Amino acid sequence: MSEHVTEHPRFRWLIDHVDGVLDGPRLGATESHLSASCATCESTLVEIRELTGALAAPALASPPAAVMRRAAGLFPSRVVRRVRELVAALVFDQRMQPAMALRATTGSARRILWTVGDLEVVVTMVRRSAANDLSGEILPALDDGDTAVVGEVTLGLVGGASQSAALDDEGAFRFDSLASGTYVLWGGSQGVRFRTPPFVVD
Amino acid sequence: MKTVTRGGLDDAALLARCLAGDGAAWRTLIDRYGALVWAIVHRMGLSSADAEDAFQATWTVALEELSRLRDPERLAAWLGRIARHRALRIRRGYGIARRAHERVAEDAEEAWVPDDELARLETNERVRAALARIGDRCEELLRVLYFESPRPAYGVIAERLDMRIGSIGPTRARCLGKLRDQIGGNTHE
Repeated sequence: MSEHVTEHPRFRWLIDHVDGVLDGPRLGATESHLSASCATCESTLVEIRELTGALAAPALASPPAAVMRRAAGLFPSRVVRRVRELVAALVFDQRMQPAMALRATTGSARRILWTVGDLEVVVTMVRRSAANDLSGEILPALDDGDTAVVGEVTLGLVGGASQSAALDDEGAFRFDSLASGTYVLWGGSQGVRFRTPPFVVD
Repeated sequence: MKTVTRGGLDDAALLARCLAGDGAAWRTLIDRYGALVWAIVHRMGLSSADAEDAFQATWTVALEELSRLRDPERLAAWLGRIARHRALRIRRGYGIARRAHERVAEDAEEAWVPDDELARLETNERVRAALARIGDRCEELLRVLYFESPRPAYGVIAERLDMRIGSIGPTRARCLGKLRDQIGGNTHE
């Protein structure tokens, strides 16, 4: 059977090529094909090298058995999230420190930052003519793109009604057209329930 | 009835079982990636006691955040980053301790697992985990071919595994193909 350089070499030939054991017409056909910069085959070669390299790599040492047992013991009989409610600690309030910038804000915006556990709770208030808009975000401890920020927040007017909003994919939330007053923000994300101290919206 | 052991489950299935409250699946997860997490926290220059703390903290965070992992295929990478993050938090304390007491090794702050090293460790562990799932015959052959150094001659392998010499090459290709499928490679025939 003749082998055409325009056809992809078989997977097995590429493995043999990586291992340096491909010979005869198959070697010639494979090298001719590869010399034409076939992206598919190049990608497969990378995968083969990655696979065989991983197989040949020395095994990592296992942790001591006691350490493994302790980690295994973390698992409850059913998955129950350990919920703690923590009072958020004020880190920054633009009203108190107007000269300090905390990320970019517009001139009329007031920015407040609290931390709670490993979370940051950021709120931005913008005054409109007769009302206020409040937006914010919950920033997770592990901001790696693979961990979704899931949760919700509730904004309550002290002595008045409350309203809730789910966090979006980026952990952001928004409440519009708020009357002036003293508010508390509470909610949960990343296994932590939090509550901010009262803050004034005006 | 075919019984599927938890060790034979892929990461996505294992995660689903963990979230359903299966403690054995959680233990399998730790068995599968415990060495990866352990290697990373050790490479971050922690003392043995702190490495143990970082290891526990990694699994604590992982358990709390398991339901939020967007892509189960990225489990190993996700665990690796949690481990690095947790170890880094402990190591930052070293800097404070050193400034206060001058008792911590000088190179503690320089220890770091770079992204490419982290990726290599994760790939190695994912491949090893996948190897355990592709079937006894393939696992046996690939272990002989790639784990043993120097690699035994084909004649020795054929005798040991009761195979024809001529079938070793094709079987190896089929097994590497299965392995590649397990870790989500492309579809080169």
